[in-house]
Amino acid sequence: MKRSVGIVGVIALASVTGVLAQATPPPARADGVGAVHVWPVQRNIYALFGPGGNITVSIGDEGVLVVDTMTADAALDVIAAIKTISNKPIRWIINTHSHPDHTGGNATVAKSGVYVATGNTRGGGGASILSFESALMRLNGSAESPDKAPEAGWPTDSFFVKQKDMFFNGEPVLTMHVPNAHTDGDAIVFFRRSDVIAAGDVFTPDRYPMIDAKEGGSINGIIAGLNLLIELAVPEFNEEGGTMIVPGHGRICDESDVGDYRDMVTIVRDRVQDLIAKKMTLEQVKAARPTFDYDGVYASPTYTGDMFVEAVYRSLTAATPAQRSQSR
Amino acid sequence: MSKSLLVALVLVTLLLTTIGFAAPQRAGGDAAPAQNPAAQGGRGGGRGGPPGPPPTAQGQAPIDLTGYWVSVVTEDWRWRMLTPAKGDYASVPLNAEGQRVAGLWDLEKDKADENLCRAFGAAGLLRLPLRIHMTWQDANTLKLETDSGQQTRLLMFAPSSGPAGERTWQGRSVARWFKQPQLEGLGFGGRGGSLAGGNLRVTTTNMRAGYLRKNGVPYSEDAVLTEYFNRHDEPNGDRWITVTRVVEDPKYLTMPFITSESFKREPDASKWHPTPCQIDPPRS
Repeated sequence: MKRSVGIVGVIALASVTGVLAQATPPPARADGVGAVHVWPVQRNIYALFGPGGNITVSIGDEGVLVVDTMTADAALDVIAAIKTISNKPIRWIINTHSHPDHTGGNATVAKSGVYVATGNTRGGGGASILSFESALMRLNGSAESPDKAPEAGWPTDSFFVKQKDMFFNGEPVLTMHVPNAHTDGDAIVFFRRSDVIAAGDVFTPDRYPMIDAKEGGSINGIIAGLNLLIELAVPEFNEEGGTMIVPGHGRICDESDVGDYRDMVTIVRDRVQDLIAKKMTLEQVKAARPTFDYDGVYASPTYTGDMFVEAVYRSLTAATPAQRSQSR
Repeated sequence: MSKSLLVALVLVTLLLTTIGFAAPQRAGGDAAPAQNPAAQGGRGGGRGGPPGPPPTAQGQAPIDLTGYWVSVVTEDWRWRMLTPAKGDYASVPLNAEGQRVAGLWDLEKDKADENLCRAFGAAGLLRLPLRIHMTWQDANTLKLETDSGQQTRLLMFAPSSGPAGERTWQGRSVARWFKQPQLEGLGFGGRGGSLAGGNLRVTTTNMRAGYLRKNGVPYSEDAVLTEYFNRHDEPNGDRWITVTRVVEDPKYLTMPFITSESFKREPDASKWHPTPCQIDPPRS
């Protein structure tokens, strides 16, 4: 009897607790600040989601390295969010390209950091900002672009070769140029020991890829970039897990996700290419609905399947024969 | 033979082996291996022959630095390509006095005093975006000219021992070929071969006080500039010089100011357009 009473008591207590738990509002978010949310990726790499493009963050003894900085308006929240995962200063910012949803916070985020190398302290100068050369030229106004930014947000350092290497927080950090993809200044950042890739807008699994043709983007460059991600990524088991990819927009992915996306982009590209070969006009190509079976997944009111088809059409018809054969 | 004696013998043998192999290793030095005996001169004309001419720096050059080279600015873009704002000395380890002097910069006064070349002095020169042209003025003097600012530096391998003379923007540069000390594994191989590479070390003193940056970040007459010129050739045919520069200035710097600059070789003089010292006003 005593035992039965005890069991009933435990059940009653559990029920009350459950009711209380449901009635109590969730605790304040500990995984972000304002509109910016922090998500662990693996090892010492985190992803920040919020307004603008995703941010990838490396934390460690040497400090903080940030890939992209979201929008200018979100910059203070970005800094505060980073402080929830590291009390070290921001040393490096790497821009995956020049668009303001990825670079708008450059000035504010850089100012909050400090760069130290070879005994020289950039006192007051903040963190260093690295980008591919053409992204620098767009941000500083040397090349005509709507991306032009205030001087404090310009990259301090640039690279013009295929790959820029550094060693930070105990691991190689490989910044690789992806030619003529989303723009002509794209870079992906590979954290080799943590096995995480920040892909920028070369890979945006929540939408069709945006091709900024005015800034040198191309559909075949996008596909080449996606193939590069697939080359670098290694799944852990059954094509799942392993290398994690933080896209420019959308959720954290693995190689399999990139493969699905690459297949979609390639199939649409080939369909449009085939229709172009049949001498169809842009309107005729759109009417053929080459993205019909993908629109439910990737289309949105702001970037429809038709818009993507038009971008692909224009990219393919503007491409030189060499560019057309660029994709692997 | 007792065990301890055997151990002692093994240790002695190892020690002798190490010493024997280590001794011939090149542990660094200044003399480069002969690249072209006919061009380098030498004191020996062979057994019994007349003495040859003394060796020259040109003949001993382990790397060829001559030609036209363009600065490729991939670092500190906005501090190098543009004139930074007054007082912006980010990354330069200025002490309090240096900061004070940097705050006194007056571009108009420099113009009026015809001192615009203060930013083109040796300690700041190669940090500027410019082209350089390097030639042998004579067999022991490498001449470095710039298009922007039209400066000329003489890198002297056999400097005169007389007084340094009046201070100049480019100062007095003493050069020597230099090889990094390098071991070849544990010493068990690689003996007898010639060392590839090498670099040029230049020490410059006797400079007029000038600017490390175009916006008046100062260095004083006490500054000493040490530079290392390395050449590296890429598989795609590109030729590069990387200059590592160390500015030491007890008057204005808290520590050595270390930078490196890269220059890419150009095929000819078609892009060489000399212009006088000129400083644009800082961006507002």
